[in-house]
Amino acid sequence: MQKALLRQLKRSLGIADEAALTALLEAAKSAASLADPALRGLLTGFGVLLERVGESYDQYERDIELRTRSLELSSAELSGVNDRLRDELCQRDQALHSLREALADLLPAASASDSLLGQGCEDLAALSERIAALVSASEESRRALANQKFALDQHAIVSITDTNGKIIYANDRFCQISGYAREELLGANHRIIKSGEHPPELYAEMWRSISAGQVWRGEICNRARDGHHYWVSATIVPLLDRHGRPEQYVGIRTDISDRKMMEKQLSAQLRLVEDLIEAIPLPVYIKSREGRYLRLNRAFEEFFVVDRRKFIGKTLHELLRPEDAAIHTSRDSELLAGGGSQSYETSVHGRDGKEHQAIYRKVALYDSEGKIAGLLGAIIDITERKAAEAAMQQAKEAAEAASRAKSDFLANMSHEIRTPMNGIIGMTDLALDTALTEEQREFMSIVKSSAESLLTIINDILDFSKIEAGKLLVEKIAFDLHRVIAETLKTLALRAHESQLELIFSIEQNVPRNVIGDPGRLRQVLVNLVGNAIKFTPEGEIAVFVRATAVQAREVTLEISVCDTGIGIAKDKQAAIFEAFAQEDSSTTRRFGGTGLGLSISSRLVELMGGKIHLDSTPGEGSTFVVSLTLEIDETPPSALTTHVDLAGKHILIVDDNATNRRVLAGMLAQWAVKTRSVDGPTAALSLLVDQGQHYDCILLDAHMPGMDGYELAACLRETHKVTIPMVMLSSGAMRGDAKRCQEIGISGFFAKPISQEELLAALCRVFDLSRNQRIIPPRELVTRHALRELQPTLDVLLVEDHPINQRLALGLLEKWGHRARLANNGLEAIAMIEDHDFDLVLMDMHMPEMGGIEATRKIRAREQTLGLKHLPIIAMTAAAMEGDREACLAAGMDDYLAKPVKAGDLLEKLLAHGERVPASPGFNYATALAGADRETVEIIAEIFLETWPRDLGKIKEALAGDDPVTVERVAHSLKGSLGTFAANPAIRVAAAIESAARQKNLDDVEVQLDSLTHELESLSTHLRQIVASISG
Amino acid sequence: MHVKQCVIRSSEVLADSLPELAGSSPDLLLVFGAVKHFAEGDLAASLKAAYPEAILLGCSTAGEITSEGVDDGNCTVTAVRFEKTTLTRGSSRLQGMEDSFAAGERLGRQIAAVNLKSVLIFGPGVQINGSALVNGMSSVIGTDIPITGGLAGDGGAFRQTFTLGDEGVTDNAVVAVGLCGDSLRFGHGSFGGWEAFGPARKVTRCTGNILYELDGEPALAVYKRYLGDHARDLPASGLLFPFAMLGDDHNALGLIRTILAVDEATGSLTLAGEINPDGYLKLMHASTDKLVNGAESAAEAAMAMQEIPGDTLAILVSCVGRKLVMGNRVDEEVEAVGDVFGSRAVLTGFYSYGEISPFTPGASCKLHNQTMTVTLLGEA
Repeated sequence: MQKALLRQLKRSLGIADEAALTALLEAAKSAASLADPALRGLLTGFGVLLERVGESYDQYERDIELRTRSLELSSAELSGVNDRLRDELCQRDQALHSLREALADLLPAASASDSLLGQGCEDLAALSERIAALVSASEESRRALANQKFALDQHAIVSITDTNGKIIYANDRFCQISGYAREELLGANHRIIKSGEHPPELYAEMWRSISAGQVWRGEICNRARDGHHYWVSATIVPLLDRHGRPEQYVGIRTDISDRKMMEKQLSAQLRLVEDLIEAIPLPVYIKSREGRYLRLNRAFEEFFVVDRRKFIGKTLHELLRPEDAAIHTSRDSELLAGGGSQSYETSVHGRDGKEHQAIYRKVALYDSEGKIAGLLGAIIDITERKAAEAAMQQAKEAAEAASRAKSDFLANMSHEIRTPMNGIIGMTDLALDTALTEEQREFMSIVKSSAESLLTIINDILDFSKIEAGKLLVEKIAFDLHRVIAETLKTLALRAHESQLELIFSIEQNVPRNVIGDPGRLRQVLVNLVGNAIKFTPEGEIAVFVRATAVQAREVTLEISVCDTGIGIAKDKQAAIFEAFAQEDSSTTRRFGGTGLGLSISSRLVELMGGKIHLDSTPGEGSTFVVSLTLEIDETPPSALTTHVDLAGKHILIVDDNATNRRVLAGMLAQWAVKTRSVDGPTAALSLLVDQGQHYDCILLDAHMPGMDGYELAACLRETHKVTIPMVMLSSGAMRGDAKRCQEIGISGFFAKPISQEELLAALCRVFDLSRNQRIIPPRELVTRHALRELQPTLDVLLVEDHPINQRLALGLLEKWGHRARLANNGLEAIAMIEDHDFDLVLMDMHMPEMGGIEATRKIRAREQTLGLKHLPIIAMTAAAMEGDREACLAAGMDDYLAKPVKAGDLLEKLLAHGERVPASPGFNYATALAGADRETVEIIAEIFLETWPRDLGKIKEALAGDDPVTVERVAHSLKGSLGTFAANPAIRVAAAIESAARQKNLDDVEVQLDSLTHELESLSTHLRQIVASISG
Repeated sequence: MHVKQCVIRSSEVLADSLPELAGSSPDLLLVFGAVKHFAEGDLAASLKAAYPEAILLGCSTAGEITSEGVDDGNCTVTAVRFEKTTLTRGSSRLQGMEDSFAAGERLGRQIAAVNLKSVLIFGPGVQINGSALVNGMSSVIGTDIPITGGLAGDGGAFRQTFTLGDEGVTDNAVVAVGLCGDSLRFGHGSFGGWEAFGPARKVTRCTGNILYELDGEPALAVYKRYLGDHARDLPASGLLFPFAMLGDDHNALGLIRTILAVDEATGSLTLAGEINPDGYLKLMHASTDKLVNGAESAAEAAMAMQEIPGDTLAILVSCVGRKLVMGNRVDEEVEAVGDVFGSRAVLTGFYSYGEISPFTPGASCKLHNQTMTVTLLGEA
């Protein structure tokens, strides 16, 4: 029972204790059965109620107890927790504080600005953020550092040693380059890589520096494991502890072995260059940009006679004389400014006063950036050279002068000697042409032959001199090879004939006709060789064969063989005969004469022409001289000889006792497809023609045959046997009058032997009368040479020559040939005469008083041009052997030239070549013109004009004399007008020319023009007179 | 819906009282009674024989609830006939405490139906993880279906409890009935009235629903300290100090855990449900008035959920801890609930070792301790 309840019961019910309560309850229960029904419940249930109440009280107590207990316990717990928390907080505070301090230590710089730390904020999160940032930053730096270290390791050789030099770190490159493994390096002393190349002082000094905490830098040679040395550039950095004392040494090195090697090579090269500069025998110097000497070599010292040490750093002003310095200063400036190189000649003086001629060669020097850093100069001493040059120049001039003197002498000599010779020979010729007694003829012949011999000798000597003096010039002109040789031989044929020798000429078909060379010299050689052959062949024949051994596009190699059946030359003498003055033996001179120069001249001439001459000979049988020569082929020959086919099929009979001749002729004819028959004499011919009655189209007869000669045969055939076949006579001795004889007998053609191909062709053409129908251009010579000459019309020739003998000679020849010759003494006279008279040809001497040939020719040509006159052939006669003269002649306007002394044959040739009958009127037909004019007008004024024009001309002449151009102009003008009526163009032209000249106040040439005008007017007058005459009935 | 109730007193025989239910032709018979009714006799057979059509559902108690109040030693049978609502049933044997979740799943699969609207579930009160059971069932039927019910009691002995299902009476079966149909009207509420006090204690060691240490101290030691002399009556006296579950921010989760058993050897406490191993616990206490007010709140909450016309059945599952605290005055809370529901409600129910209900309408169902959990059924 609850005490409280019990107490309450005690109070309220008066119950003493529990036992009493129990008894009461019992009593209640028993009373319940007696009590009121309403109270029954109360009495019976009272006990239960009390129980229930008691339980509730218990419950409440329990609850309260529990609650109180809980309260106490939880309070205690809570304060305990509180205390604990406070402690923890306190600790935390302390921790934070320490942390803050630590942070402040770590970031002394940041703390000032860091509000977090400054204010002592307890925000742990912020602090931890800060720390995280710090750590991250530190991490960053660590990473950066690691990268740097890595990079460093790639490049550098890194080692770290402690203060005793023991290696505590070696990077890969260190291991690599030293050849040691890392394990070997670590812990070893750094001296294991000492090479021993350096003096101990180096290492001592290094240690001193780094021990003192200073960075040491230098280049060291180290030794690798295998013993080889390598060079490094080292930087040794002491790492200091917090007290500033070194605790470790970091060595960072780069491998410079390559560089060291290059340096060595470079210095070796430099040494070489140094030695080179010193060794060069030329003075060499190097100047700086400012023009100061940087280097001078030994040669320089010797040249200028200086000590180089005194002049290094100085300029040229201190070295050279002022006048010398001046030259070079500007040059130097130029070079230093513009770069490039210079080379010039100058004189310079050494310090000893000696003058040198020198060539300065300078070049600008560039630095590595391409800027001009200085110049290099070299001096070439040409003093001696200059002297030598000067001496040589003098010698040259002297030689030239001597040479010129020689030439002049030779020229003079040529002229001086030849002129009288010309006279002698020419006159002798003329004399021989006149009627002479036998005795006289004989004397004259001897004179002539003597003179000719002499001339030959003189020519030889002169030629020889020229050759020796090197003055002989070989020409290069175009000429007809066949013709030249043929002609040359023609002239020799006579001599051969006189010696009863046959002269045979054969030129092969493949030999080009038109070549370029020196025909004159060729002729000379041929004359010499054939002449010799004639001389040394008592009997038989001399054959000249011309072959082409090689024909190319531009040139032909000829072989001209002169074969004789003469006395021959002994083998041992063959070489000698080409020597000057040598003959076969001295007896030869006596027997045969001659200077002995001929062959030597010939051989030299051949050599000059670029050929060779050689000899084959058998004493007693004969000799063959062979000239091989290469000539250029003239690609533009003047004219081509076109063969025509019409001779083909003709039958021709050849009658000649000489087999070679027959062969040659037959050969020529065969080329034209002519059928030939050859017989060796008249007997055979007669037999064929008369007895057998064979028909031929033509007969070629040799004039000289044993028994019956050609003429006799011809006469016989014609008269006795009435053979009408045309005949052509070939004679080796052509003489004047032969033509006549031929004509008399009825021989169609006559030719001197040897006959050339063209001559034969022309002859045959003429014989067959083909030339008219054929478009062949016959050579200048027609049927016979003489015939041609005879056929040639008479020429009006003007001879312009001052020398009386030459005058006489030329005139004589001209008259002999039937030409009309007039004489002018000099150029002036010539011009006057030309104006006066129409000439067909002018023979012009060169050197004459008053006016020479060149000037006269020029004037004549000028006049021709002005007046539009026909070209007047002018042939120069020149004694000169000089090349230049010929050109001058041609330049002046001459057509050709003859060499003096003039030979008849040459003259004749030129006449034939250039002489043409000039028609009476100079190209203009006044009659025709007049016919075309207005006849009535002409009739009216003709008579008056005839009266007035002479007076007009007189007026002009007066005005000229009085230097009155106005009058000249006026008169000329009116004349011109009148002349217009007559359509007299040439006259009008001249009048107009006079008029315009006068208008320009230029009266110089008017006189000349006046003369020509006179001439024209005279011509016109002739016709006018006719008209007047016709009018008047 | 028709509800008829009869109470079999301890001294009476079931067969005698049953005729009171005659004429009800029930669909469901809810049976809550003291252990002796379940342990002895042939309760299930008798009921089955009398009403073969009805589904049997019930369990042993730590006190019976009727409209008149709370009794001990009785057995109440409440017959319910539904007009339109259909029922599904399920029963599953629990094989150890670890099987709680799986048993819930099995049960869920059994009672699952298309139109399932709510579930009544009763399970053993010992050797069970009540929250796992509820979670297991929710995992099958979904968290939208309200599950209400409770864990059987055994008069505070915490030794052996019984449940009644269609298979009959067992001591380890979990039984459930599913209510299906749109005409079902349903309301629930759960309220405790306990108040936490003292420091928040950190759960330093626990496994599932076994609490080993609080703040590094054996949990049992804490209890003993607070109980003092009453520690002799553990585990029953443990009901006096349930734990409030706190989150790691020290805020109350609203869940209370009561111990089911103690282990002297390990110094551990076996709680009716799991606790948050990272969380905190606070001790709780209550006064009778607070508890009665709590019950009232629960009833009001249930009423507020849905308008239920006609007769209603209120199933009250209260916690044995409350009975212990309130002692004789325990009737007051039943009266308070009855006042709220009115005369048309028939009250039944029992004092359990754990209440099952959604915490708040629409929230997932949880195991509660120390609460008055009310389920109000009706039909529209």
